[in-house]
Amino acid sequence: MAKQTFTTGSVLTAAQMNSLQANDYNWTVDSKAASYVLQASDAGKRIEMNAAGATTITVNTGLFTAGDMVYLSNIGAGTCTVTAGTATVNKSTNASLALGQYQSGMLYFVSTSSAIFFPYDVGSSGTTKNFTLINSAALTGATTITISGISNQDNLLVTFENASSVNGTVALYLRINADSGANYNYHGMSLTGGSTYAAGNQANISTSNDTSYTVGQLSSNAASLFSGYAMILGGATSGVKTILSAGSGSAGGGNGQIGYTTGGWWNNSATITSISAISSSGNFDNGTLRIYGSA
Amino acid sequence: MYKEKIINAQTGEETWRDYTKEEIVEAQAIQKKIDEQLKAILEKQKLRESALNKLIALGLTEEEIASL
Repeated sequence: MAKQTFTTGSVLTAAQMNSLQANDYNWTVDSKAASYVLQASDAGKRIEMNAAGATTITVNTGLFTAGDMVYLSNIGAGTCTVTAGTATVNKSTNASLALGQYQSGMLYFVSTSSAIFFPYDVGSSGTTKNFTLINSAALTGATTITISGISNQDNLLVTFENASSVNGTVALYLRINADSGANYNYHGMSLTGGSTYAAGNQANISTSNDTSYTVGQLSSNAASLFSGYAMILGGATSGVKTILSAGSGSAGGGNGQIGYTTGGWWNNSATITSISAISSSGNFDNGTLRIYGSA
Repeated sequence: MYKEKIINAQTGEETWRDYTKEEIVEAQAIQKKIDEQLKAILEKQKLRESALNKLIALGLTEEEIASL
């Protein structure tokens, strides 16, 4: 039963009373198969999303009053994301606005223009979140391969499988959100494949305020192949993003390939929307770039 | 020569663009730095190799050289 205002002389019918009672014990379910914008009449209801693809529930200002609550649940396979339209939607630091299948939460309004989302099962399982493949791209024909359209991914795994450039002595590096500012910092171990052994081949790398995050280097031979990964954490929240990375080029008949094992951070508070794999010289001519994400 | 391929993970749409002049200058500067670093490493190794050969020519054994 939609909320209504009773005044002196108004009559509360038995049907209305039964409806109220029913809703109190069993909230009215309003099923949605597509993205939905909340209406004033949704106060006190359960909005149940059921869609195969990704959807949103948009929250606008001027529709609800302080104390109103809307129960949001998702039974569909597609992730449903609670989205601030004109209203503000707050949440705890560790909570997510993205509802996976069979997840739910309460949207509680503290004013007509501001709500807090309380998800019910964030962190309750204590298990690692599932990763799904966001995109798999052939590393060919370009110096930079960018995967855009990334959203609401807390953790991102980027893998290079047998990446190669048409040139030799090429560094492979990452950029986030096409950011070429001096915001990348990484520290760890560096191993350089020289023509002969030298103690200095094993070294540390300590790079601050770089314009990209280097994951490794191909040898002087253009047939050299690079494989490695970068795990990027905190992609869907504000604050710096931590990065863990490892990888190396093969000799491929040359030398000078470098393997890095580093940890670092991207000093930028923006949420991650794109990842770019970059060859420092020459187009990629082999390999696969994969990006896995977990919301 | 310098191109970027952008793949939208939501739609699958692929778009291409050429690097800007500024991006090309930046890429070339990065590559120059990489080449110089590798050159320095390889020159150092060449010197070491030369020194080892001279020590061997003086009659030192590999074990003796390794103990230095």
